[in-house]
Amino acid sequence: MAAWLLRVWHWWGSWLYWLMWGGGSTARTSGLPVTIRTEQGQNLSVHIQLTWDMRQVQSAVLAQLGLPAATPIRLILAGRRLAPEVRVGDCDLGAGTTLHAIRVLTHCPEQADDGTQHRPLNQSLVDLEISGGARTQPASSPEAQARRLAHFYVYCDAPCHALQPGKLRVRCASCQDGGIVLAGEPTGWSDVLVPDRIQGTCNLAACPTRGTLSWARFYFKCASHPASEDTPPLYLIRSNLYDVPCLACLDVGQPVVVFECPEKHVSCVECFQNYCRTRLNERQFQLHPDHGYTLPCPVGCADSLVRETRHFKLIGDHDYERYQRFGTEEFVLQSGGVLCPRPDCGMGIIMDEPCRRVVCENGCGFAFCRDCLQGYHIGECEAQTETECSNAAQSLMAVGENAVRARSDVRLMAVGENAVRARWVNADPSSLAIQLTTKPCPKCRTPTERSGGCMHMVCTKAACGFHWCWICQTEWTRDCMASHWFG
Amino acid sequence: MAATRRLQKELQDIRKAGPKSFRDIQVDEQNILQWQGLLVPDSPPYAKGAFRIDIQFPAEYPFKPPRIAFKTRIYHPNVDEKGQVCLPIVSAENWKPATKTDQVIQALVSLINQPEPDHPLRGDLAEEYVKDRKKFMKNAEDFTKKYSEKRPSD
Repeated sequence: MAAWLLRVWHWWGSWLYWLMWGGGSTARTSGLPVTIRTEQGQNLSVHIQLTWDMRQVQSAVLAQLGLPAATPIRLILAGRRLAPEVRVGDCDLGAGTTLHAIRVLTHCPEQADDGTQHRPLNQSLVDLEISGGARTQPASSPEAQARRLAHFYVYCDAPCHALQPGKLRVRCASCQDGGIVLAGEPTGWSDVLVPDRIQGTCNLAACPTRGTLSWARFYFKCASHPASEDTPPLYLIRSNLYDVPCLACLDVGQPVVVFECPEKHVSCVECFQNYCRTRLNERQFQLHPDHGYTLPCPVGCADSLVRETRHFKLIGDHDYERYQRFGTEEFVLQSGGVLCPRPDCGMGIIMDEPCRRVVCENGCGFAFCRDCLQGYHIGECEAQTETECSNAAQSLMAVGENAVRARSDVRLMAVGENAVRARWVNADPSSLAIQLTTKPCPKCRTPTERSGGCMHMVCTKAACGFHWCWICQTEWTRDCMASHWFG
Repeated sequence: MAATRRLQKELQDIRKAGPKSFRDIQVDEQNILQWQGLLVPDSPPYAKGAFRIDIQFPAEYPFKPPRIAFKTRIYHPNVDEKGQVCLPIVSAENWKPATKTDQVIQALVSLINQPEPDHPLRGDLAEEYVKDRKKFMKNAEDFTKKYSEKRPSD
């Protein structure tokens, strides 16, 4: 059955592919489908071959446009005017890549075409780590030259869910189109990451800056699949140009993570993941007002916090989700808020007014005391019983010794999912059930279950008999009667 | 696993260097996170014996420090009766993933050779060390003779 399904899928998949890339004649399907965009903004779908050079691509484009074969045109990719001898296979082109085709007009002062033609950016851009004079020095061998080339990495959210090689692309800051030719190339990471550092000339007829210099904007795509969305670059992931061993496992990895400290400490990607997970498990990430929930270089260097927190996506979807939750919880606690202590809730609550009675309004609805994090009660907080203390202590152990040191206040009890879960796991199942299904009488704190009926509760404990509201968790009032007597 | 790869290299390097003060390294083939070795101090009153120590590496090594414990009893202000030792280089605050085990061992050897009575684990011994050095040396020497292991002959 499974094999049959697989075959059907395979057949269906190939048929879809055929349909998507405009099936029909075999000659067309055998090539790489790319989009050609003209200076008038017209898009053509053209199938090209990896073995072709740009001259052949030009002929194919002219044929499809119905123009004479001798019409001079230029092909632009990633801010470069590609020279006629450049081979398609040497460009970082994929299915669905957009190339710009610009007609060379004589006597058109608006078209700032000085005639220079280039090798593709991915074949000429020197690694952005190499600075100063070393950028222009010729490499000793073709291998050394290939090693010096810039490589970029992105975290591809979908469909890859992984660290992938990235493609550097350029668009005009004015018209957002890719028909721009760079006037200079980036020589450092800031040129690529910070807007308005490198200029270029835009060739799109509709661009307001046409004929003058405009700013170039760099962006990145995942190189592993066609039709990739813009993806932020993980700029700490770099080629290990100098074979630096990982500070943790001592292996020479490729690529590596280069931390933001002036010393540029290096770890391999696997050790970076282990480092993040270890710190995450102990809640040792730091909340920085500008950079977010982040980590310094593992060596502990000053000024080394990771500024682009999307690097933490490398720990995988499951752990990244925990990372986001922990970061949110940390933010709530640092902003003076509390986390709902109810098992499996943990909602972050930032109170508008300093009130001891906190209601988990957008979460489970539980009302609790801000000070002791028990169900809301009238009067002083009670000292915890011995069992509760030992349960709390166990949960704290689970959160990690450092977390305990970091926050010794009572909120520790609700440091979040881990603390709460660990605590309830350690507690016996029936007390967990009691925590989940009951609310304490606000006066005598007897755990009370509401099996039905209205919201008006009367404490069954003989000496108490307090009248209270199941929703407000405080004394039953006329307001309760008016607004939520029956729920 | 990254910890395993790193420890294999470290173990190889230490065995190659063959430090005089840390000998007879035994590692469980099944579990490279657990080391044992013989600490051979060269300052009196410990210079007449050798001390077996355990080094336990966490699975998160090197992002968490190793833990060191004495298996041989020792009369020392910085080692308690259970064999726990207070070594700043492997404390959670000071630990750096780039610190190698041989540096940890060197730090341990120099702590044993030169006790630090200001940060003691055993206050009584620290006090004796500061106030009556002669008595401390005598006690520690007797203790060493009584409990420590034989020093390697070479």
